[in-house]
Amino acid sequence: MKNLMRHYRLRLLRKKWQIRTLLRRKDLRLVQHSAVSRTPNGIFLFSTLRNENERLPYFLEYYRKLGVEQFFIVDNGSTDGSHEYLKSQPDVSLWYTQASYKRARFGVLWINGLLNAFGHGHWCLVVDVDELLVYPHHKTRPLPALTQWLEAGKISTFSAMLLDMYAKTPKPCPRGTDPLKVLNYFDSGNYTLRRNTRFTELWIQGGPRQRLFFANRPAKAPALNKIPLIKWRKHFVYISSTHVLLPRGLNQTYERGGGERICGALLHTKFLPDMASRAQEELIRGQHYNNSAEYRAYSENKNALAEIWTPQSTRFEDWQQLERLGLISLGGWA
Amino acid sequence: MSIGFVLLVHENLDRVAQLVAALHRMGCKLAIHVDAKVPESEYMAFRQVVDGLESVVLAPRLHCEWGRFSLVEAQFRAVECLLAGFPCVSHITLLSGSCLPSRPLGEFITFLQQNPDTDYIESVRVGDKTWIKGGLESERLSLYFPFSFVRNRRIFDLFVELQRKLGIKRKMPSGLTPHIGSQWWTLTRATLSAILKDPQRPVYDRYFKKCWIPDESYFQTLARKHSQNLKSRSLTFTRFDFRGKPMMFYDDHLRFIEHIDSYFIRKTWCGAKALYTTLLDPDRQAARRNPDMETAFLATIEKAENRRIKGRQGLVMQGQVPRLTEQVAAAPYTVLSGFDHVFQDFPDWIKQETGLEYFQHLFSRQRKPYQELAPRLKGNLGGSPRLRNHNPEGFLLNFIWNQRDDDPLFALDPGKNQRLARFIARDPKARVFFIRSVWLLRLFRNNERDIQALQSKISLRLRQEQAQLSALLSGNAKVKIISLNEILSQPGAVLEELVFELRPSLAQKNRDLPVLLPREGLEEYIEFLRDAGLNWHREAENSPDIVENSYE
Repeated sequence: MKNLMRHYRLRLLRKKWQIRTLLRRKDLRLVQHSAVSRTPNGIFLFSTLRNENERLPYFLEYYRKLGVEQFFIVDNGSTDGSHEYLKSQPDVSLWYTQASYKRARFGVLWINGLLNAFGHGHWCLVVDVDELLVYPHHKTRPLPALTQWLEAGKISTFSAMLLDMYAKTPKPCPRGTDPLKVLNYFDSGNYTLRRNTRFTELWIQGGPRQRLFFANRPAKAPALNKIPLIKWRKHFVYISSTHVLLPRGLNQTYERGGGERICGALLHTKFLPDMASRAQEELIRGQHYNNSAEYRAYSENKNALAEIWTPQSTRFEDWQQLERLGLISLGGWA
Repeated sequence: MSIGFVLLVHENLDRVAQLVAALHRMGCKLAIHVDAKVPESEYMAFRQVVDGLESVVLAPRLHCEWGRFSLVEAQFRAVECLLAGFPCVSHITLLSGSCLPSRPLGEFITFLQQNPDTDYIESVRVGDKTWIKGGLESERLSLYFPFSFVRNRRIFDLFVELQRKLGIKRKMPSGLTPHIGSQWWTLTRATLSAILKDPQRPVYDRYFKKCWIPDESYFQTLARKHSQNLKSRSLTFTRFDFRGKPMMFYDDHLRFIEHIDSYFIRKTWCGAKALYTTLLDPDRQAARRNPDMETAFLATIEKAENRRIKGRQGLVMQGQVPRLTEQVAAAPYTVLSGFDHVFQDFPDWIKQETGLEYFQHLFSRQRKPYQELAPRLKGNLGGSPRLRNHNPEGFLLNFIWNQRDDDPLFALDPGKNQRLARFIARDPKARVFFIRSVWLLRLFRNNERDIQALQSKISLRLRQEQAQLSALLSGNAKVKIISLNEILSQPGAVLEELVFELRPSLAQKNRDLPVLLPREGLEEYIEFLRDAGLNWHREAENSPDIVENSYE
């Protein structure tokens, strides 16, 4: 009985989020439909962005190489030429909005809407422009290899924790080049996690952001758990960025009784030298999670970018290294 | 005399066409069965490609379903086409559309020509060894399977359960011994014809129609009856993963493939461009098989499977989240409780004697000593004490995981940090050396004489110590309890035992002992406590089992 009640409450919650998604549909104005035709097994990428012109060329290139067939992008009022650049890309479907990012639950409602409209029955990747996905064998096996393997095992979600990358000494990254050439260090062993019982999702914290900006209030540090790759169905909803999904069974990307499920990492290229000015701007806009606590912390610690590296930082090599360190897992994919 | 192939095809016809072209080029004869599930348009396109090839025939199509007799029937159809169409064929090999040659095809043809009368079919007596990964074994042949696994999984399972309860055991038709093995075989014309023309065949077919996965038992059983010279091995490498699904080959496997002890591999991912171009190249040259490479290849598969089945102990990560009570550290570690209160310069001493890094302030409550230690922690685990206390169990597991190769050693103040002590007590990887009553030394050094205050302090300390001890002794950790008297009177013996535990090879060496902290007047202080009616060690005496229990 109790189970039934809980089940029903979660169902109501899911419906609520679906309605919210519908309500925010009016925010988006279609700018262009991609010129590429969609195939039944194509992999789609969904993203919301604002002023990412510097990162965009490499981002698109990176995911094209991994086998993404089409990009569905919401431009939230870019003014730096991102918009024009995206319009010139044939495999990009573009929407524009100046509506509040915050009111759209930090973009998640817009993405839910697009996923429902285009993603049903497809493997969909939901990432930000500063997130590069790595998974076991990603250099030799494109995404369709992964998704077909997952599907054969009846798995429909794939988790990839956020791994903040940083430089030893801050250096700019020229447009169109690999940011990992500059941001080639990460924290290898300071991530802790909890499992929340309500949605059974994980809550992973740690990394340089917690270490530097939230050392005295660790509970407020950003969540690093993400489920960016999913075989979408119309009744699914993301309810908090890509951290949590409903129905809640989708969040169970882990094994409890021994054994590891396959998982990857999103290499986070946020810590480029433009971060300080961005933090300032985002703080003024006040459109981010938890009253923009993260950006407030960044602007309080102006020197952070230079202090982020320590002698215990690990130099990034490849996915095999992440696997050895226990940050990602092969999970049976030989 | 030429070599024939039977191809069972279910998908990716353009890839199949490449395989067909390569086999055809080598002068092989082919009969192809395309699953009736393949859309007509795709099939027609495939036909157009294949129609021009004179030594290829297409068998009448049938709807195939995994695990059922339709797969065997499809093989019959294709084999009949092949035998009738090409009288010159001497050997027939069954392949799937996603197989590829692991060695150059010429080598395979020569191999068969050198062994003209041998049948290659893996065929293991049912019940002899566990050949099947997961699922039913001998029951595949001894129960009835009228329901589809794919479409009616629940009914399938229920019906199996029901038959088990009823004790149903079907009897195999007389003259046959049940055998089972890989679906992919190479048989001689003589053996195959004998199987197809067996006068008992209707009886056999009727029996196998109600079996589960007959494609892994029909020819395997019948070949035992008709073959003159049978080698029980498959010339196609297949491996089933932990889910019972065939392993996939990708481009990164290329360097291993030519070393696998077989002539074909199954199954290839349709997007593996390098595999298709390299392995089907008519001018392909292959190096001699190197058994070490095959071993290395099998080890990589093993490793991946182990991750899924066992995982890595002591690792809590996004793909593996054991329950808190089942969490075990990644490596054995040692916890020293109280030593720093007894000896001067203990950290330096232990480092010098054992070479191990001793993390004295790992769980220190004070900010400064921890802050000094933090930069030494691998993986940037350091941070602030608050960060550590945010999830102390996670912090400890991370610490051990990061230092798992260097015998982690740290201090935990006796009586403090009960929550962590309980966690450590549960962990079979933990080794705890616990000195009792060290709090007494603190009182003594502060020269506390206020009896009122002492009373409450002592009872608090005793309670804390008692709680920690009973936690430690009820768990799985290896615990050694040392009384204050013991460590003060025979420090050498205690430390020798500690060094022996940490570094057995360094035991029995003449060594300098660390200096004991000043303790003149301690006996007088204890006397003062006793005279004041504060019996500080009474409770300890009341529970002698604690002292003895503990340590083997």
